[in-house]
Formats: sequence, structure tokens, C-alpha cells
Amino acid sequence: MISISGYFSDILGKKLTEAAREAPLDGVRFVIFDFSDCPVVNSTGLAALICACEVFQDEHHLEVGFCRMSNLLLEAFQISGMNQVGALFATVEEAKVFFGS
Amino acid sequence: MTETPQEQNLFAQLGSEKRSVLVSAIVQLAKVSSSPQALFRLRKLAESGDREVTFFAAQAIVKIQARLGQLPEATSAPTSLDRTALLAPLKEEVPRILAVIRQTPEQIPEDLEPVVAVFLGKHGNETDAPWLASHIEKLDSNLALPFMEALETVSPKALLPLLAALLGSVQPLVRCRAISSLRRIDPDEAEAHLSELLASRRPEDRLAGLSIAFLFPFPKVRELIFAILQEDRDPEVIKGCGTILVSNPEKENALRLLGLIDTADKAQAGRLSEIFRDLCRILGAAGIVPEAEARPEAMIPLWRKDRLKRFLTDLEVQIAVTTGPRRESMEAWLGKNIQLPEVRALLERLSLNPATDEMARNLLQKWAKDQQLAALASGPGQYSDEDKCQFLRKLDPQQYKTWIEWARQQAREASPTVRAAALNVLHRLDSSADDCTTIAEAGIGSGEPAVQVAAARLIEKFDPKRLIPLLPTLLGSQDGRLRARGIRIALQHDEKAALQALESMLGAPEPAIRANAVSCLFLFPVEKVTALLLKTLQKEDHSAIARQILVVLLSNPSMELLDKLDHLHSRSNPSVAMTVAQARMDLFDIILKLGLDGEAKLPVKPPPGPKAFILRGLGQSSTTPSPSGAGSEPETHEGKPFPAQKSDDKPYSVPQVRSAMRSRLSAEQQKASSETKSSGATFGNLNAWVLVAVVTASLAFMPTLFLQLVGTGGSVDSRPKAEAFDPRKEDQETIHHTEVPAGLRMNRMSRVTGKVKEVRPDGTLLFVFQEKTFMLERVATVPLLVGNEDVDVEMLPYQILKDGTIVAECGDLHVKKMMNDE
Repeated sequence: MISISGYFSDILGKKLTEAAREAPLDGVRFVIFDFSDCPVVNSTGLAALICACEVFQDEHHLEVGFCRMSNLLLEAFQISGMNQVGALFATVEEAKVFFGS
Repeated sequence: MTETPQEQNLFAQLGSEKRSVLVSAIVQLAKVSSSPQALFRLRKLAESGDREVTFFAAQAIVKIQARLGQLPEATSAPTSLDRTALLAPLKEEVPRILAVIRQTPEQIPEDLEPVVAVFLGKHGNETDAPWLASHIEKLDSNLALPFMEALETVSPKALLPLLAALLGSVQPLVRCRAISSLRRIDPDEAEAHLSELLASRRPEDRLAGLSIAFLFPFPKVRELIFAILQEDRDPEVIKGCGTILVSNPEKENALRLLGLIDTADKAQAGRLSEIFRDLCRILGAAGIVPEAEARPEAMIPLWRKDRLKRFLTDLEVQIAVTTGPRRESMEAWLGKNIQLPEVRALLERLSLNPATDEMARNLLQKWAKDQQLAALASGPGQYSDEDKCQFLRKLDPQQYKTWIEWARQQAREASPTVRAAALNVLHRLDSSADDCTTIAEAGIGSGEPAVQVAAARLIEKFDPKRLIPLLPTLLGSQDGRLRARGIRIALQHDEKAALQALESMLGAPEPAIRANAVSCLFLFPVEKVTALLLKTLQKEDHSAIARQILVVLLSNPSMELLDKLDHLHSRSNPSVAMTVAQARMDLFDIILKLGLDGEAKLPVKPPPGPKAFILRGLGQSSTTPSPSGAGSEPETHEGKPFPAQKSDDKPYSVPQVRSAMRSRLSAEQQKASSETKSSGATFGNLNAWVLVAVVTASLAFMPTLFLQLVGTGGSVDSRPKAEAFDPRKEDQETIHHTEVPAGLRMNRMSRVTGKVKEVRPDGTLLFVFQEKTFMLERVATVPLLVGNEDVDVEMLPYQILKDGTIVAECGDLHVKKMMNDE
């Protein structure tokens, strides 16, 4: 599970992309992003999030879920099409159940 | 004596959790009631110990007693004051009381001051104005109301200098009273303040705004009300909107309501239907529409005839940008009305839009099947798509040599899922640039987002320049990943052309094209598109598209953007103006939350000599330009500047009042922050704190995954976040942190899983989630529970009872399907 805290912009985005590439993901089946402490993801942050999800999905064949998002984030994900990249959940528990954890 | 329906309604409001509703109900009872039951209830409130409630209740009691012919109780000694004597003085007592007040104002007990204000409002004159004004300045509660009313009576001009502060009060009733006063001297500005108040998402603000909406021209108020009805879930707010619509019966409004009902989720549709039925009844009773045509069922064919085309045009935009229950309602409506040729034509258009294609194709296919016009697609082949995808994913470089032709064939002509998987294999294992790019270019033209994404990625690997001619396809896609890739390429190779294409889309007369353009813009660096978006906002007349543009802007928060939004004037539609006002509030919240208001406090260059920002009153012109050259800037209570406002603004203008409110909020945040500091709960260098940006990736499922990312190297602040005072979210945050379980928000539809505790005889159901009890109302069907199964509930929590139980409207309830059921 990846908990994002604060303003998710280019700096955090870069770190996330790097971490996604370098992390040992053998045996992992899914990744859940928890946005409960993240009020806003800006354009560059969103682009980085897409890149990270591409790495998870295309290279490691992981499923991706996003949960506990503010209304603004939900709207931003809807507009940018991020809601097609991963499944959206109200709570972490819901996401875990969905992925069969 | 039996209470009137109005009194019964007011009695119900006396139990409201919203203070402004309670106070309003007491004031209304004082005006209309003459029942002993009202006196009984008000006496209980007068003994509540709450200073505000006690004052208003005591005032109401005296008025009702007078109406009932009951004599006031004995007056006090000649030299002192008491509540009863002040509220209902005998005629011969008035001069004595006035003399006591004027000669020894400092001896008036604090708890009697509001009552003295009421007395002066009836018996005072202009000489009492300074005393009244001085109390208004120091009060920031509903107790300011009697002082405002009295001052307006004895000396209206003395109220004028105080209006700016009153219009920015955190008390909605005080704001409303100030707006009402302002309306007499500047109706246009008062209307702007009303719009700002209604734009607030705080139910209490909206309710207060609705209570004075009757004073303003209905055509403008109507647009604001329909904007509220689209998004607000608070039953009291919806009821308030309904009251105004029903009080101004128009056939057009009934038809607009029908459009809203059809696309609202179930719970909201129920509330809107009640308003619709009331409106139809009034339309018939008032003779505005012949009674036979005013029946709800008679309105539907009328709506189809007059409004369907406009409704469908709007639906095409809305459905592409809406999620959750509302989108499901829209889909259900389309399915229900697919027999109409106009609806099928819309579905054909939606099937070409990647955001809606699957839904549209499914509905059309079902329609075709139902009509026996088409046969279902043929059955699966020897191997399922999933088998093929699994096989492709497992291929290693050695195996790939054997299967290379088959994989390329799959990448050319298989089903979209397999084709995308095969293209990904080519990306991973194929080294033939020519073959791969040829196959991928065909994939881009497939129209299938998943295939296009994989194809674009493959081309980018071998020769990114070959994506340039394909940019229109990439930038026009609804798929976020494809657009991101297109934009990345466009930014590197042909940014100007990409921006021009987007600008042209944003200027298109068709709302659907504009909506698509906005979603394309999202991944551009915001500095490249901000000006374009702000320009588009000024003329945009569709509130859903305006909201999309604003979400893009809000996702890149800054003080500069807030300043630009402050100066943006949407002229096309009052509901868009309201959307912009909400965005300003949202942006300010985000800025406070992230600590970005520091941007405005840090001059670009250290100013030599005297301070660059000078302390001055609102509306006074500045003699010292701000370092950024942005013009005059009011300062916060602590001397920190806030964005510039035009120096020629009236002191009570919306921008000036907004600026003052922000300064106050920011100062309160500063104060809270410094208190946190002084309590010794800080760590490290606090000056470096700008925003907290920490990504913590924690191991949840596998011991091998442990990502711990720390953002903004070197600038991480470890001090605890100070809670900003935020009236718009005050209610929500209090409830969120103390009473409402995580995952739920008051007045927002939510879906949770929990246990049924009790099914009550009155049809309500007690439901437990995260150790919190919910009383679910409007439960359509109670499921058959064999044991202690989990149930899934979709609910709208809207009230917290004194025992902590949360009352919620139930949208959907069913037994949770267990994993092993399958």
C-alpha cells in the first residue's frame, strides 16, 4: 500500500516513479494508493502517477487501486481518465476485499 | 389551542443541529406564534444556559406573551434594568430606562446588552448609535443581530462603515442581515454577496442565503437554486430551494426539475420529485397551467416535446464527466428511453467517445437483441482471450523466438485485450524496429484505447518522432494514458500545434467537444494553459465544463491563481459564477491546508527602508506598490499581506470582504500554528516549512514490498500540521474526526459494509459500521438475514442525534456476497 501525504507534485511524482521502478515486486499482486492525506495532485504529479501505474501494470502485471480520495481528487481523476487506470474505492478495506486480500 | 402547520414546522426546526436554523426558528416563532406550546418550548430554551439561545428565546417569549394578552412580570427597581422591563416596557417606564442606559452605559450587565439593543431599536435615537456600533464591532456571534437591527433603525448611515466586517462574518445569519441592509443602498453588490453565500458548501450558509433569496430578482436566484439542486444533499437545503421554486411557480421550472430528477440518484430523485409534485399542484391551483396539464404525469409528454433535445445535449456532456450513482441513474435513464430515436442517436454518438463507448455499445446491443435486429457475437474460440494474455505475459526471450510470428499476428488482428497484451510483449522482447512500428501504427488507428496505449508506447520506444503525425489521435483520445503520452510527445516536438488544436477545441460551440478539450488539457504543464483556461472560463456557459476547467486549475494551487480567479468575472450564467465562487473557496482551503499562503507573505525582493506593505483599512488606496506590482494589498491581522484588490472597490464589495475573510482565517491559522509551536510540539527548523510532502509506502501485503519515499529532500517538515480554522469545513472536519467513521462524510452518499443491529417496527433499521450506530431511513427492502452476515449499504448520513446515533437515508441495502459463494 502506498500512502501519499501532502501536495503531490513533480518532486513527489519523480520519487514515486523511481521507487516504482526500483522496488522489488516479486510475488506482489496489487498496489493500493491511499490518498487520505493528500488534498491535491497537480498535473505533473498526475503524469507521474500514470507512469508509475504503467510500470506496475505493464511490467509487473499488478492490479492498481486508488482509495480514500477527496472530492477534488475524484473529479481530477475522472477528468484525466485516471479512473480507467485503476479501480476506485472509498476505503482501504474495500480495496483489500476487492483484490482478495 | 392547536398549532398551525407553520408552527409545527418551526418546532421541528428547534431540534436542528444547525445553530442558524435554531435561531431562525426562534425568531420566526416570535413573529407568528401565539400558542402556549410555543411558550413552553421557548421557556426550556431560555433556560438552556446558551447566551445566544437564551436571549432570542426570552425575546420571543415576551412577544408571544404580549400576543396572548399576558402581562409582563413586575418591573425592577427604578435604578436598575431587567430583561422583562427592557423587552416589554410600560409606556411610562421608557424615559426612566432610557436615562439609566444613557447615563451609566458601563453599568449595563453584559448579558443584558442585546436586550438593551432591542430596547434602543424601539425607543432610542441617533445619540445611541455609537454605543450600538461599538458592540457590533466586538461581537462575532448571532448576538450582533439585535445591535444591527437597532442601529439600522436609529441611524442607518452609522451601519455602513461596519458592513464590510459584517458581510464577512462567520455567522450566516449575521451575513444575511448585512446583505439585507446592503440591498437598500447597493442592490447589485448585495446580489453578488448572496451568490457568494449560496456558493458556500456549508449547509448553514446556504440555508441562511435561501432565507433572504426572496428579496432578490427571481430569474437570477432561480439559476443559483438549480445549481444547488444539482449538487447539494442536505435535506433542509433542498427543502429551502423547493420552497422558493414553489413560491414562484413557473412551468419552465417544473420541466427543468423533471430533467434533474431523471439524472439524479435514487435518494436525490425522491427529494426532487416531492418538489416537482408540489410545484405541479401550485401551477394548477394558481391557474398558471390548466389543471389537467399540471398533473405530474401530464408534464412528462410536455417535457419530451419541449425539452428532450436540450436535455440530451446536456446529458452528452454530463455523462462523460460524472461518476457514481448519478452516472448510473443517467445510464438507467438512457436504457429506459432507448426506444426514442433521439436517445438512440445520442447513444451512437456516445459509442464513439472512449469515456462512454462501452456503456453506449452495451445499451445499443441490448436494444438490438431485444428488437431481434442483430444476433449476438459468436462464441469463444479454442483458447480464451485470458489464456492468450497469460501465455503472452509469460513468454521469455528464448520462447519468444519460437512464437514471434504468432505474437506479431496477435498484435495485428486479435481482440483488443489480446492485441494490447501482444503489443506489450513486442515492447518487451522484440528488437525489430521496422516491424514493430508498422504494427503499432496500425494499432493507433484501431480506436481501442488499450491497443492505442500499448501501440504508442511501442512506437515511442523505437522512434518517438513517428508519433508526431499521430498527435491529433493521441491528443483527442479520452484515455488518460494515451493523452499523457501524446502530450509528452507534443511538448517535446510540437507544443505550439498542440496548444492551437486545444484552443480551437475549447472555443467550439458544441459542449461535448469543449468537455473533451478540457480533459486533454489536464496533463499540460499548468503554466502553459492557465491563461487559456481562464479565458475560456469567462465565456463558458455550461457549469459542468466550467467545473472541469476549475478542477484542472485547483489541482495546481497557488496564490497567483487565487488572485486571477478573484478577478475573473463570469458573465454568461449565474450558475457558472457560483461554480467559480466555490472554486475560489476550495482553492483558498487548499492553500491554507498546504501552507501556500506563504507565497503572498514572501516579497520577491527584500524591500529597502520602510516595509513594503503598510497597514491600512479596507478600501483605502495604497501609496506603496507591492513588490510584485500587483497593486494595493490589504494585510492580515498580523501584518501579512493578502492578494491585491482594486483600490477603487467599495469597502463592502465582494472582493474586499473576501480578502478580509481570508486575512482573518489566515491569521487564525497563524495563531493556531504559533500555539502549537509554543506547546513544544515542534521539531527541526520551522521556517523551512512550506508544505508537508511525504510519500510513505508501507508494506501491506508482501514482505518484499517496502517503499518508503520521502519527498522534497531537505525541506521535509516534521512539525505537526496545525489545524486551520475553516468555517466551510468546520462541521465536516469535526464530524469526520470525532464522530463519523472514516470512509463516510456527512451529506455525501457513501457505500459501506457493516452489520444490521435491529429492524425497528417503524421501518427504520439500526446498522453498525466501525462501532458507530446508524439509523437508516427509507429502507426499501430489508434483506433476509440468516445469521450475522455483513451487509452493503449505500447511505446519505445527514444528522447526528444527541446519543451519537447518525441518521442516514438509505439508498441501497443488500447482503454482502461472500468470496466463497462463487
